[in-house]
Amino acid sequence: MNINGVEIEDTYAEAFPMRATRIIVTAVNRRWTLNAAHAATGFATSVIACGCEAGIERELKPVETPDGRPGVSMLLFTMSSKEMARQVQNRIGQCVLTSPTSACFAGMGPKEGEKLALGKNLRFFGDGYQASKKIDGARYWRVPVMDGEFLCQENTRMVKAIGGGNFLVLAETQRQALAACEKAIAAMKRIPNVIMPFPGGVVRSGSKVGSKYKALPASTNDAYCPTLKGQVRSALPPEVGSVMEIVIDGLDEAAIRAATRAGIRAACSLGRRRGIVRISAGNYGGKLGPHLFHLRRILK
Amino acid sequence: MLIKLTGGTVYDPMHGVDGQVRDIYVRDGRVVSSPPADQRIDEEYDLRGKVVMAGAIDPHSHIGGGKVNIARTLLPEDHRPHPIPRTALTRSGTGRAAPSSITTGYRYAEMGYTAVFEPAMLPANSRQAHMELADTPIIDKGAYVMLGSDDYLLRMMAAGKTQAEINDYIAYTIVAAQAVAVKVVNPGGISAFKFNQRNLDLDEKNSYYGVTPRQILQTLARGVKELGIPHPLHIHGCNLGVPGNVQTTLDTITGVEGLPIHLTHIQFHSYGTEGDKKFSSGAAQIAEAINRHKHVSADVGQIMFGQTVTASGDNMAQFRNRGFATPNKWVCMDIECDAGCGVVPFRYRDQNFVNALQWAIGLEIFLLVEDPWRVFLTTDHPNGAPFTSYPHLIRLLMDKSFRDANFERLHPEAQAMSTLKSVQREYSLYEIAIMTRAAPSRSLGLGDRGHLGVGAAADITVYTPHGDRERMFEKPDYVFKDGTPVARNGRIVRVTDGGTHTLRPGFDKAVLKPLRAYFEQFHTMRLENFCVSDEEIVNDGRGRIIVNQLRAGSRG
Amino acid sequence: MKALTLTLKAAPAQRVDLAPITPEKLRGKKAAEIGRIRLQCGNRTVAVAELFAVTAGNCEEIVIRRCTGKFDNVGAGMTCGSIAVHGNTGHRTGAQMAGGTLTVRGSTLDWAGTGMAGGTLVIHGDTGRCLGAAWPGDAQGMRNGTIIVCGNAGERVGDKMRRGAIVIEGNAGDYCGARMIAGSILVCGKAGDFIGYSMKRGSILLTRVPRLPATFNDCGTFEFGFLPLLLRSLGRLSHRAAALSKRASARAQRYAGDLANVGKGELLVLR
Repeated sequence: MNINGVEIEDTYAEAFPMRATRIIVTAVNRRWTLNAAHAATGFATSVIACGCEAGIERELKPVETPDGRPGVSMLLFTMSSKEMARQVQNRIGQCVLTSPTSACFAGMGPKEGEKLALGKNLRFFGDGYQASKKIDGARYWRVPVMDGEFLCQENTRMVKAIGGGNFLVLAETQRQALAACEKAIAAMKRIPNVIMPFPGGVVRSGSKVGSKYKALPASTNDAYCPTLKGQVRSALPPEVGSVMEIVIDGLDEAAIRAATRAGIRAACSLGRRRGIVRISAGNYGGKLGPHLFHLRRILK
Repeated sequence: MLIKLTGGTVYDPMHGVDGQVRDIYVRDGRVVSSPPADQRIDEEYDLRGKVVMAGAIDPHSHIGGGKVNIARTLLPEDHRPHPIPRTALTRSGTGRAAPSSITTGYRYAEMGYTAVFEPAMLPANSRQAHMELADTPIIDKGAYVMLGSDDYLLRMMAAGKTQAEINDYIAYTIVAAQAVAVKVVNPGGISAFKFNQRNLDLDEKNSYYGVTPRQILQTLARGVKELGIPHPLHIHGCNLGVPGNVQTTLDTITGVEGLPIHLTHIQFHSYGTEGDKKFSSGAAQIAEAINRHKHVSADVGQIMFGQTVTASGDNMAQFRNRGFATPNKWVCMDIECDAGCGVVPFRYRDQNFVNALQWAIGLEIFLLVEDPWRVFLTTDHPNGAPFTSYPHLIRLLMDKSFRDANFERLHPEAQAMSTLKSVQREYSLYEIAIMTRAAPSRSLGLGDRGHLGVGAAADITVYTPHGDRERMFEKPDYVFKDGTPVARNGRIVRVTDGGTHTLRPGFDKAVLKPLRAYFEQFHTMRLENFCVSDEEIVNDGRGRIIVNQLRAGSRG
Repeated sequence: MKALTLTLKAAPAQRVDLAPITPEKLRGKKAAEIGRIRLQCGNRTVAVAELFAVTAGNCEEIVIRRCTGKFDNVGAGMTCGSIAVHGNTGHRTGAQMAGGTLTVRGSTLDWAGTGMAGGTLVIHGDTGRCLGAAWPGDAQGMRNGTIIVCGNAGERVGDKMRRGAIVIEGNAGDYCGARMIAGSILVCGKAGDFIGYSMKRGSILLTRVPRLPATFNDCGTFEFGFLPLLLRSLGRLSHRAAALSKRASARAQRYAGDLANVGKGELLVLR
């Protein structure tokens, strides 16, 4: 199979179950919604060391938000519900509560998944001056802060989700690989229910399990490192000079499939002529994750 | 007018009559001997196949006085769902746990009770208590005056006054308050609570007066005996409801030097600390102690599952239990520096380990105390349960299979901690007649009440025997009060006014001088106004004073 | 299926307790059975059929026609369905109701919505005193739900109110929000004296500065993030609230009080 001369390798991405929540942050204008959201989803590329994987799902127009102000919807993914509670409390407490003019709301329906504290504990920042309002069945906390009041919904919901969907772009040069990935990310950002947690959505340091150093659980994926082509058992054909990966966390398989499809199509739109050689995917032989995304089936 | 009650099966333990078929004659409110054959019978009741007993007597039921009113005020929840409409004969009322005083009288009479005693009347509250009792129709009433945490007594004891001087004060208070016995509640503890003591053990000193509960108990018990008060000192002991209080209760029994005492709602004072939850039954030890010590009598204070309200003078215990208030509101207060009061609404649940075990402990005590003359049937209304649950309680005592079936519904861990199921005893009708009639009458010195001998007041209850004892005792066929039929098949047919039992122990008038000075200095009323006069109780014939005899050999 | 309809035949001489007429109490009953239900009327009882012409219909949806102020406890304790009343109602309209919708196309007397725990009560006319207030002996007034009054309300709106929202589109009498524990009251017209008297927490939203009690302090004018949410929610039931929701920014002047009590309540004058 190939698209525009780009070979689609007959392989699959292997993904695993995660917990996810959606949180909506609003502020006085777009700029300050993004300031809050970037901070709250910052340093959240991989659960390996960040605790969670998070990103901006999309920006929201004033008519789409609970309080009629510009907003952002963020998705957070963790490996456990306990870790989710910790991450939400820390990130909303340190990055949204602190951000001027911000307010924070649940981004999931009241019946989805299970309950997750949002402002429930943050309210204690109010030192007894916090006040609650129950509006249409949902409780909101009003916490007095120096610029006025921080409004935060008491709870949001957390659902079962999937992390680790991915594909690899194999190109002749670094510049070409990056161009393809940028195109892919631009297309994928239009897909709901997914985030690409790495910087700009792209990761250049794919890893393998294990290391020669006992302390490290994972290390560089040498089979895909172009500079080691002559040194190790490389997975790369001779013409490939750079590999980049796009990792996708999504609320369900369909969302990840849609994002994968949109991303690969956009990357391949550059074609073999512009140096895009092959699309592959990362897996562990199907042993780790229950979710397998076969590239060729998705693109059929 | 001569009434003949023909052919009933009579249970009259005071005269050893155990289920014999007899005719009973009543003339002018009294039981009389069988008249000559030619005497005209004005009214005859055919009681063949029926069970006849004297009217029942409840020696411990909070039916009047300050705290009952506080409970009523606190709990509109008790009144709104339970309205009792007026009928052509009876007046309206409300409430279950703390019913209207009028309703209380009707309900007791309907169940075959003809005398009920309010066990905790503060001297300062006695006028209000008697007014409430006056509003309780049909039944005879009486009240125990509460001493032991009152400032004046503690001052006397701290000052080392003699027993004779204290006896004068006790006697004066009984007369002034129109009481029929003396009660002590958490001796000295109510006062200690006001000095910020939150526990007071038997030998712990009140931090202000330096007096211990043991001293108070001994002083009052001796005073009661020396004054010839028929009812022994009515003791609500230390540490009510505290796990491990079984030891306190045992120490109380042995600590009064053989003076006669009555331990009330002893169920609440029979808790051990065994088991994983540090709460266990002390019933066996308590029953054994009562069996061994003949100077001790008790009433149980059985709990029943459901909503009630606990109203007690023991502010220390009530303050401790405030967290359990259901619904969540409670009152603890001082009353006129004489005592205190705590009202905590409560819901006993069979799936609650502690409540379930309390239920079992009460029944264990009933069944393990051998002598029914020394254990009385109470729920400490409304603290353990409303008095309307007595028929259910009687069935639990008389019917082992029913008891076991109820036991099996308890919290499983409570079942494992109780030996109730191994107790085979079932009370007989004769024993029930003892514990609800003869024994309280004898203990309180009521003389002509609680039995059916010639000369007795014709307070008579007639039941239809039924395998389901609850049904039997719920709705007696006939209830006669002083010879007048007042209830029929569990419905009031005539509303009368009962009397008020009192005592008149003598006292040296010299007691009045320091008391008057004390009242002038500290009290909100004058000594003269403090006394409840006979006229107030008689109230133009609506009430009646019954002066009971003091025990022989006293100085009264 | 049509609504079950009760049409008053002749005005009763005494007050009538209409508490037995609620969707859940009538569920599964036929018209004839409903006609036989006894209602307390003064010191005696009368059958429903003596007072009303009963037209069979869906019991979840009750319509009462020609109702008058002699009928107390209309919709009291209802938990579901709807009751629409054409005419006035007496005291305790919707008292203790926990769900459903009660609409009075007329005015009510006192104690409407007392002890209410949920649902929606809409009064198209005026209401008397103690709307959503605590019944004597109760520790709390309205505990949840929404009350909309299109006309004026008497004294003591939301006395000891604990949660929920009350909208008075007209004017409110004295002691509005007195002893409030929490919740929200919106008065679109004028509010009387002693507003928020002894309130602990909760918000009273106003459109103009009232005569302020001495124990309320001005905190200044701010943006309040919850106001758009609250007004939009209330706007679904009240067109005056909807208009405010469209017109008003989230700005309001805040007066904190009652400082003689807990002092965490507020009067918010919308700007």
